[in-house]
Amino acid sequence: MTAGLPDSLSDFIDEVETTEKTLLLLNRTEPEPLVNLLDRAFETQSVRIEERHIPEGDTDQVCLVEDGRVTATTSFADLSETFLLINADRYRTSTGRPETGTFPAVLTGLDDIEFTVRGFPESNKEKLLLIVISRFIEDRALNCGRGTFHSTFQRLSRLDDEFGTRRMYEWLGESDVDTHVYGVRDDPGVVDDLDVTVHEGTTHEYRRSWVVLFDPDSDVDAAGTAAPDSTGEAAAASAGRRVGDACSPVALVALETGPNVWRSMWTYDPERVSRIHRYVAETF
Amino acid sequence: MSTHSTEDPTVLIVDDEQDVADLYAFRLDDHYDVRTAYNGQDALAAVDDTVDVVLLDRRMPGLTGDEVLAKIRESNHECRVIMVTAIDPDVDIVDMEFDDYLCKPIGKETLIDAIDHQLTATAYGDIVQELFSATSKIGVLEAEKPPEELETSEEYQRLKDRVEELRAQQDDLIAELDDFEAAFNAIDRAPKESA
Repeated sequence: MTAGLPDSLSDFIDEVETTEKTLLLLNRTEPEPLVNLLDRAFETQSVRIEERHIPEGDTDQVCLVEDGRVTATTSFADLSETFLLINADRYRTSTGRPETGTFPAVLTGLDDIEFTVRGFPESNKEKLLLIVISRFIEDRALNCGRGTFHSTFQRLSRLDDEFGTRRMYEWLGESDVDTHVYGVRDDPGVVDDLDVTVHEGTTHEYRRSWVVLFDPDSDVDAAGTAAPDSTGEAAAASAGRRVGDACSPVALVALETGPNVWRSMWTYDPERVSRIHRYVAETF
Repeated sequence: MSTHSTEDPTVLIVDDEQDVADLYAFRLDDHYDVRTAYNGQDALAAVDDTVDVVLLDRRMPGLTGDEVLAKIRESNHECRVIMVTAIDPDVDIVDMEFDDYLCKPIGKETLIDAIDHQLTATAYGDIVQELFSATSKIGVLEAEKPPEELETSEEYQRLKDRVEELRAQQDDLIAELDDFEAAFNAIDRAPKESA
C-alpha cells in the first residue's frame, strides 16, 4: 500500500489524471454579465462551461457534470454571492466564520484537476478559486475538531497580513486539531503567540509552495504505513461524503511557477492526501 | 440600452471587472440613468455635474477607488459616492470622504436602498450629508469589527462624538430625520456571517 514519495511537490500535480468536468448552467434567467463572469473564471482551465434549457426544471441552477453524471448542484445565486461577485479581499479581510453554503459544492467538487491560476490584476477570479478551497479546508479541520492540519505560507508574515487569516489560525490553534504552519521566518514574533507548531525554512519549496492539508485520522507515522482508509472502496466512499462529512481527508497543492502564477490541484483521495502529508512532514 | 425619462437620477458605476459593472447596470437600469466606467481614469472623465451618485469599487489596478474618491472630492462636483468593495473596512475608513460603504456581494435591493438614501440626503444639505457619512462608517465598522477593538479605537470614538455634534446642530429637523436615519441604518452594508 505504501507508494513511494516523489522528488518534488509538483510531481503530485503531474500524477493527476485529469478527468473531464463540466459546469452546466440550467434554465438561466439571470443576465448575460453573470455568465461572462463564470466563463472568465474558467477561461484558461480544462473545466468546460455549458448552458442548457430543459422544460419544467428549476431555474438558475449550476450542475457539476462528471462522466455524464451530475455530482453536485449549486444555485447560480449562491455561486454568485460566494464566488462570482466577490474577490479575494472578502476572504482575506473577513473576520467571521463562514456560514454553511459558503463553499459551493460545484467548486469544491473540481478536485483532481490541474489548474494554473493567475492573481490580481491579471485575473480577478482564478486565484480566488484556490483561496476558496484553502478556506474550505481550514473550515473542515475546525469543524472536525481533531486530526492534523498543515499549511505552507511562503513567508510566515503572510499569516498576519490580514486580520481574517490570523483569526482563522487562532481558532485552529485553540482547537484540538494538531496545526502546523510553514514558511520563511521573515517577521520574527508574528506567529509566536499562536498555539500552532511553526516550521521555518528557506528551501525553494518553503518559498514557493501553497499546501493546505487536513488529515483527520492519522498522525504522520501512521500515514505512510497503515492508513486504513486507503482502499479503493474507501476512496469511492470518500467521493460521496466530500461535502457532508467534515472528518475526511483533503489536500490542496499549489506551486508558484511565475510571478503570481500558481499551478495547482486539490484532492480527496485518502491515499494521495496521506502521501502529500508524509512528503510535507519528511521534506519540510 | 434603456428607455428612461431624462428626470431619472444619474448613477455612475465604476468597477474594473467589466461584467460586474455591467451586471449592476442591468439591475439598476429600470430605476436610474445608468453609466459605467471600467477603470479609475475613465471614471474621473465620466464624472460631471449630471452625475448624482457614484458606485465606486475600492480595488482597481491603476487609479484605485480610494484615489478616485480623493480626486472627485478635490473637484467641485457635488455627487454622492458609495464605496462598493470586498475589502472589509478597517478604522482607516474614518478619514475617507465617502458617503456610504457597501461590502460585496451586494443584492439588488441593497443597492437601490443605498442610492435612494443618497439622493434624499442630497436634498437635506451638508450637515445631514456629513451625519450620514459618519453614520455609515459607524454602521459598517460595528458590523465588521469586534466591540472590544472599537472601544479602544480613537478613530471610532471621534466618529461617535462627531455624530452627536451633528445631531445637535440639526435639532429642528430631528423628528423628520429619525425615521430616515433608522431606514438608512437598516441598509445591509455587510453580508451576514456568524460571529
